[in-house]
Amino acid sequence: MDAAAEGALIAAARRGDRGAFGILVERYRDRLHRVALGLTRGSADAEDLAQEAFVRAYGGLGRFRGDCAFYTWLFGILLNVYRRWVRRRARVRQHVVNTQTDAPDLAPLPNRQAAAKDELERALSVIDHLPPKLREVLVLRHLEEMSYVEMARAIGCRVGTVRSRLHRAREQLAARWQRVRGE
Amino acid sequence: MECRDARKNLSALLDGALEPDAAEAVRDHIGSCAACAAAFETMRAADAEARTALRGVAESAQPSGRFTARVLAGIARQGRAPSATLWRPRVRRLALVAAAVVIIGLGIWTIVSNLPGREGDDVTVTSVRPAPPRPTVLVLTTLELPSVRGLVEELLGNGFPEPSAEPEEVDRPQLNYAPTVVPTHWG
Repeated sequence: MDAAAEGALIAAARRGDRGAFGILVERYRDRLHRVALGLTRGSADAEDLAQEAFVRAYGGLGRFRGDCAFYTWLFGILLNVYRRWVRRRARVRQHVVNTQTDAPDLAPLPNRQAAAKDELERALSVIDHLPPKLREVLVLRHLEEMSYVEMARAIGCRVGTVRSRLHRAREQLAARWQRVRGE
Repeated sequence: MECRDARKNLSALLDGALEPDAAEAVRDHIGSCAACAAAFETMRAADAEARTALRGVAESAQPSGRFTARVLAGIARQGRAPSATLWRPRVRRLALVAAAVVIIGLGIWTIVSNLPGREGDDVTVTSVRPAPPRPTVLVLTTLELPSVRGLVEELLGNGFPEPSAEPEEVDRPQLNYAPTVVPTHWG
């Protein structure tokens, strides 16, 4: 699908053509779902988050001005949905903090060799300690291979902020990674 | 290049996001500084592991077959066409501008009304009296907006109270504190 065809679908969806929007959903659902999984560490909520992002995108199509790629705009909406999810979880955790561990939800991982699985778990536990804003840039960089400019548009901040957040994320990763390796 | 400058650019170097000259300078520094080289290697390894882990998680599940249908059902439940949202940002902007005008007007009026009399003005001690009333509508009349004034009058239905030229005198019992000094040209 080229840009013109996508533009026509967006225009049709703006006029209320849900079928046209459905085609856009089909086109981007895998990518949004992947990023939602990365953000939520494979939580079962990832699909709900991606779906909610699409629903909100449809309602907000009037605000899409076309000054960035449609998928960049979609990722921006997904990040907003994710931030709300993080806040909601934080509130819920306050109620159950005495009865449960603070470990995030883990979707069943595919069968892997035990060592590789341990390695993955260890890396994920390192990522878990990143604040949401730092995790966002890391996920967009590694799963979507977005440029700094694209990330800035999706997040709604300056390129310098993206660069700084990515740097801080990697510094924290490196520090924790060293500690984990040293144990 | 100093270590501090090199360290700040390690992440951008990993992404290939530095200008060629800057990238070369960082690489030169790393080549000659064991501590920065170790820091870069640690960052690179941790980042690579994080990327592998994230991709592993991202591939751990596929969207369900009913994904699109659920999205469209959610849109149907919402029951709002996207075009209906077109006016909302404009209204919000208009409301913000209106609020800003009112706030700025209030601020200006407050400042102006609290200015002391000019040097050389005749000042006499008249009496102790309360501050003159300062209803919001006074701000509108101060700003001399006849259309707004007419609108408010219409809404109130009972006319628009003129601000009195002189604040109302109030007889008060003997007070223990110093009387207020006000310029005689008040109002």
